[in-house]
Amino acid sequence: MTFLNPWFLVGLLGTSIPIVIHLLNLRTARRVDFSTLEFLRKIERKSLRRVRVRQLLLLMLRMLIIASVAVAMARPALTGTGSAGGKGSVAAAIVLDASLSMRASAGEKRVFDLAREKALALVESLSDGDEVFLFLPGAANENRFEGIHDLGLVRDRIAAAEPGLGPGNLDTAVREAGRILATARHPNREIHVLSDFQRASWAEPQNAAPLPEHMRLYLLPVAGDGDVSNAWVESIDTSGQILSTGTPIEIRTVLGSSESFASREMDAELESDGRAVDRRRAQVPSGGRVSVAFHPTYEQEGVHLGKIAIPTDVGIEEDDNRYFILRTDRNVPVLLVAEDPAAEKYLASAISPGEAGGSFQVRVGARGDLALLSTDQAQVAVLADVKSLAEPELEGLKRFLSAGGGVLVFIGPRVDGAEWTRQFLPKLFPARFAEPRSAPQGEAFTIARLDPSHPLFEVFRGEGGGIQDARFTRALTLVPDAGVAVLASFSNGVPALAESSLLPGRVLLFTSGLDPTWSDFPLTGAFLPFVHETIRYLAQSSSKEASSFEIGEGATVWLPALPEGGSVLVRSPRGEERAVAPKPGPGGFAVELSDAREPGFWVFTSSRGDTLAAFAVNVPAAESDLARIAPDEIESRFAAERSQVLDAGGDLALQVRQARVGREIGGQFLWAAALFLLLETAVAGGALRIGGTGEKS
Amino acid sequence: MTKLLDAAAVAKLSGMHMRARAVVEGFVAGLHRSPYKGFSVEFAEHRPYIAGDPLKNLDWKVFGKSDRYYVKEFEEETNLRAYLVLDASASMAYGSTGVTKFEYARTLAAALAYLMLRQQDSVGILLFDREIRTFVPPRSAGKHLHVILRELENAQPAEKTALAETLHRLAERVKRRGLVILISDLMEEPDEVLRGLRHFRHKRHEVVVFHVLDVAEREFGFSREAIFRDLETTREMLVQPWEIRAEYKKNVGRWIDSLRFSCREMGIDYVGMHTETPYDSALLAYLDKRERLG
Repeated sequence: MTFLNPWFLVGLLGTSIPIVIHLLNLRTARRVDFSTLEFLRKIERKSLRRVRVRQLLLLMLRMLIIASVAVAMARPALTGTGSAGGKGSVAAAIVLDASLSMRASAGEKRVFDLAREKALALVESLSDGDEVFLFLPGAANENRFEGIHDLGLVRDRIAAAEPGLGPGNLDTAVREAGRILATARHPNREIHVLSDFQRASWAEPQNAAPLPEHMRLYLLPVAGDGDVSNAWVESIDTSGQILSTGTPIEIRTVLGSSESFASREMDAELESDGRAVDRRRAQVPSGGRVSVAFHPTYEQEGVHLGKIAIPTDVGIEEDDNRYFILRTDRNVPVLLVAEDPAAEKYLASAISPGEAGGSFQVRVGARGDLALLSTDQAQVAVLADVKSLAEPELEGLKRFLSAGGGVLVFIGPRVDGAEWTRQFLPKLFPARFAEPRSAPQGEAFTIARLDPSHPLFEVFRGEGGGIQDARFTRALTLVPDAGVAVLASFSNGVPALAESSLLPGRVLLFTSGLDPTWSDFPLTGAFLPFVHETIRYLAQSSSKEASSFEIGEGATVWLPALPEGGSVLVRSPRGEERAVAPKPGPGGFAVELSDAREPGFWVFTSSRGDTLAAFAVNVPAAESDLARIAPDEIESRFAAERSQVLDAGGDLALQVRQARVGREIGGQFLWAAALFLLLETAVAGGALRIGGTGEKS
Repeated sequence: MTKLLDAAAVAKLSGMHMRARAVVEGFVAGLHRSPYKGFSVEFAEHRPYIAGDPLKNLDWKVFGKSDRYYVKEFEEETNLRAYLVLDASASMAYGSTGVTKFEYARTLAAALAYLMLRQQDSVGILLFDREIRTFVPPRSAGKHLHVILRELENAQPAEKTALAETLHRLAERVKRRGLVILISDLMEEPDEVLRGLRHFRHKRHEVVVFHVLDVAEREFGFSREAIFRDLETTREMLVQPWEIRAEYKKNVGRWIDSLRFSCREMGIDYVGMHTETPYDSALLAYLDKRERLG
């Protein structure tokens, strides 16, 4: 037996009331003068036992009345499947995992198909009048159906359910189910979780709390013992290099496999712009990772749509492919914004000396161009002696860095250190500027210390490559915070060059300037290699999968400008086109595609068919790793004493019925209370019906 | 009967004389409609009628026979000596209806004394608790009533009862045969009480017992649990009245029946009364006894 409102059992304390009243009556009994006690004493001797038995009986009856009412209010219910228990009404939440991992094949069927069969079997344990809430975390379309009383409809919903291609957070789904069931009136409140119990699906939120009381959690692992075998393409990486046409590009991919995957050789195939360009054989281990590198050469500049695929017939089919986008340029486009003409001249000459076939192509722009900056226009932005930045320009830079762009900053006499400390640094570079430091009259400081391990200074190793010859008379004192690395320092100890990788793109900040009153650095032989190396370094880091999203992530794409006519179309991987409504924002237009739940390439075009932007959507890599979470870990998370792991091989309906709260018997206790009341009246009645005449105090 | 005979109403009158008179006068007024006549005046002789004689004394039979007016001469008879024995123990102080047993008993005693003296009988009084507190020998003089009533007026119930012992002592003390009227709640061992009464019968006294009880003593109609305190012994007992009421009434009934039966066996008139019984019942009982005594 269990109690649905156990706190009413506190009312059992009320059984002490008759005892207390009895004791109080003893203490407060009135004194009555009477002529003689002789007759009373004779009776007392004769019938003392009978009177005491009767009083005890009355006391017990009164205590039983109170106890019965208290128990009835606590809503007792019988458990078990026997006829005595019966069956109480049920509010059941069926959480049917519909995440990508449920698409894994387990023998001839998918894991989801097995889970669906079990869910239908669970419905058999319900009956008319019960209420069902169906949760399908990870499903592509509608993933929640609340308060269904028609079991036929429940079966239809379950039968029609299909797993999605994204993640499903079961922890959140269970908590949501608990929140909804907490308000149900039914004595049996149950949450049934049918899942492969993939660890990735049970991300615990912060401040997680146990389920509400009187709610049972049934866990039903449906994938059998051990992990389902799976191999997948986990990631693609082109970072650390300049993606130029005509030179080989290294495309690195990682292949993963589950513990139960039998190690074997596999051919990984690189497809680019719709045709296979390379194939590499790799030994994929069991439950491990292997890296495979492709080295294609792109002759055409522009955006390339790529895919890496592995041929497997196990696990999840959808994670055998992974899509990527890369952009190749003939030269690395660089945007130069300099408010000091001298600096502009030095930098423009250094970045693009003018010879044909140079690595970089510089475009001199104004400060306002920063607001519309995108990685399509430039891979690196160079700022020199810029006094301050307006908010749209800061937002543009932030977006640029978020997309993988790199920024090189030179300070100069025009720079307002306080403004930079207030604007730029907090958002993009965790540091602050202190007072400027100047060398004594007639003296100068030099770059005295370099981080020898940093790739930027590879060309300056040995004698320093002449960088120590540069003389500096003034610099802003940079006080770095966490997230900023000092790569080089002046001889007076002030940081000279610092790097921040707060966002995907990197920022390099040089604390002195190119103005002749500040330094002779542009005139030294080290200046050209320094500029080239820094831009190359920043351009490399911009070649990540910046235009890739995983299903479940919010896919927001920025368009620097709208095409003529303003209408933008998006084409899904299946070739379906529809119009989207870009929202104007600082420095561009944002397009949010929350429904981009189909892996492949999503391409934005103008109404004339011109490609505006493209991004790749992949299934979440975390869903491919089918490693399980132990059910007892989940039980402890949601209050273990109310959880139960069901045996998928047994009769599910029977298992659930056995643990289910049966018929409520509070009414019987009320009847019992009424019966005790009648008995009490009958036992006490003989004395009560005689009137109190002749009383004298 | 007049309403003055109601015990509660009589109790409101101040002074024993007033009470006794009210009881008796009301009772006598009622007698005109009853078969009872006076006993204390005996016929002596006839004498010729003299103007001014009450017409009620005219003997009409003689007038019918002789055609002469004769009136009947009476002479007083004082051959009855009555002893009113009144229980003044503490138990008599109990009363649940506004009139204590003692109030009732002494009013009854006063009324009986008034009636007896009015009928020229000699009457004495004895008040007792654990011992004899007051003893007034029988007299028939009219002023004797005041003595008796004063003693009754001053008496208050106290102390334990020693009824049997008192009866024995009184039986030894009274030499001349007479009528002993005991007014008591008889709250003592029944055998002892009966032995004392039997002593009177042994001395050839006539005995009338007025057994005065309160209605609560008969019915025990208390409703709430209470600590009962014995008025004589001051002992206490916690009692749930509803638990013992039936058995109590049965025991009390058995006790009363036993007393009544034993009195009848001994030729004693037993008159059961409670504090709401009209006084005329007692007076009638007395007159009935008096008639039988001749």
